[in-house]
Amino acid sequence: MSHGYQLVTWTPFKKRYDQFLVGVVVAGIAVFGGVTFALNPLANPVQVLMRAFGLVAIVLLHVILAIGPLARIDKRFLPLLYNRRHLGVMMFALAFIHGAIATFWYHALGTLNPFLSVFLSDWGSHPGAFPFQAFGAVALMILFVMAATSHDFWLANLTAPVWKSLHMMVYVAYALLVVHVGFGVLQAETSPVYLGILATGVVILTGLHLKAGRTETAADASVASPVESDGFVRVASLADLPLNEAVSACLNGDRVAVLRYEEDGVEKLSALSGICQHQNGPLSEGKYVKGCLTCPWHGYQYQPDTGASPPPFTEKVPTFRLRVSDGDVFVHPTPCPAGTRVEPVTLN
Amino acid sequence: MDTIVTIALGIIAAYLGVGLLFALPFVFIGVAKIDAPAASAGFWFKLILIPGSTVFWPLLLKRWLRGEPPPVEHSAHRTSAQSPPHP
Ligand code: HEM
Ligand code: FES
Repeated sequence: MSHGYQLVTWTPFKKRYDQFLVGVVVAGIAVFGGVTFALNPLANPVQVLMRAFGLVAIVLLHVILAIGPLARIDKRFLPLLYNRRHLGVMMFALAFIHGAIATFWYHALGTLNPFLSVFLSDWGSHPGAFPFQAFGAVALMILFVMAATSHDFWLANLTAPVWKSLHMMVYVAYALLVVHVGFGVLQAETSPVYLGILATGVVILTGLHLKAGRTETAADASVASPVESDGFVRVASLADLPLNEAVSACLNGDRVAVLRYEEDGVEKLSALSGICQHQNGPLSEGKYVKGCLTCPWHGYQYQPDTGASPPPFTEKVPTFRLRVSDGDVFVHPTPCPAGTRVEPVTLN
Repeated sequence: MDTIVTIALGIIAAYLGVGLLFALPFVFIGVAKIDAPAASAGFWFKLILIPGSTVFWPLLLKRWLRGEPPPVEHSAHRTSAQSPPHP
């Protein structure tokens, strides 16, 4: 799993995904250019190109931000999530081209350093003046750091929580861009249609995130149970556990994977931390494949009794003690250190 | 306003300039010392580490000097883990 990095771990699916993506981007730029020139044959080609790149980038950003909640609401969207980082890098590249054209076109001809000029223009006293380009530039810096750290190398070296907080900055960038685009559109357009589309995008994204958040909270709350005298907590009834498929329970601040599996003809029960060491993926929604609980996101594998990946891999997650009485499964909420073997419960 | 922006952009430019000077030797020599899988990785992989190394150079420089491997992250379960009692 973490053995050797590659630039991109290509699969036929990723190739098709990327070809489709490039096709959509090229088509988007062509359609915007065509329509603009049809409506206004005297439009400045540089400005049209700049606007086209900015528009395709912001549309792509909406798609990127919608995929996360969509995948949480409905698992059929998951394949889109796996390859989301290509979307992100592509979006950064488009936004960068837009910003670069704008910087050269509007700022490189004066005496002021063009980068300073991006931040200092539009502060003027004339009505409607607003430093919207500074908002775009700060957003672009955030997107740059995200694109620069999109490879798994950074995930391992910055650790998943730091990496995740860094990539949550996309919401800051998005807020800055709503302001930038809102005022940017006004530079060239008087029609309210553009602003209407932008507002619709903001409303849809907010709605999707609220809905996904509620689905998630409901799933986490459904497993709160009283603590037994020996400290164990009831997490499920044995009859509800599917064979070879983990069930998620929330214990000690995070999810636990409870797995009923068949090994060498014997049915067993184990519990391990439900958070994958790779990218904090939902291991507790994984399946038991070839002797290991397999993360649905990128297929990292963990032996159910030890929480360790099979050699030569070195990933490990914490394990949990468990027992069965009267057809109910009880798990002790205190985790054992990552990789500690816990004797599985044998079922007949 | 002008002075604040000028100073802020100057600091960012200086930081990234040092970062770029650091990134080149880091991705071709240093990275192999702090991240085992990266040691055997190809040229293009190393090349795409340059932008990130330019941004995170203080952290990577510290690890390179100390020869530290990537850390194991803390999750709620890792932090609260305890050895099980021996029955
Ligand atoms: C250094 C960074 C940036 C600069 C200097 C910049 C500059 C500009 C300028 C001057 C306009 C007005 C265009 C016009 O004349 O109509 C504009 C509009 C726009 N910008 Fe940016 N921008 C930057 C970053 C970004 C980023 C990161 C994004 C999005 C991902 C973005 C998306 C847009 C969009 C969608 C518009 C409206 C396009 C339209 O007029 O239809 N910009 N930007
Ligand atoms: S998060 Fe990538 S395999 Fe689990």
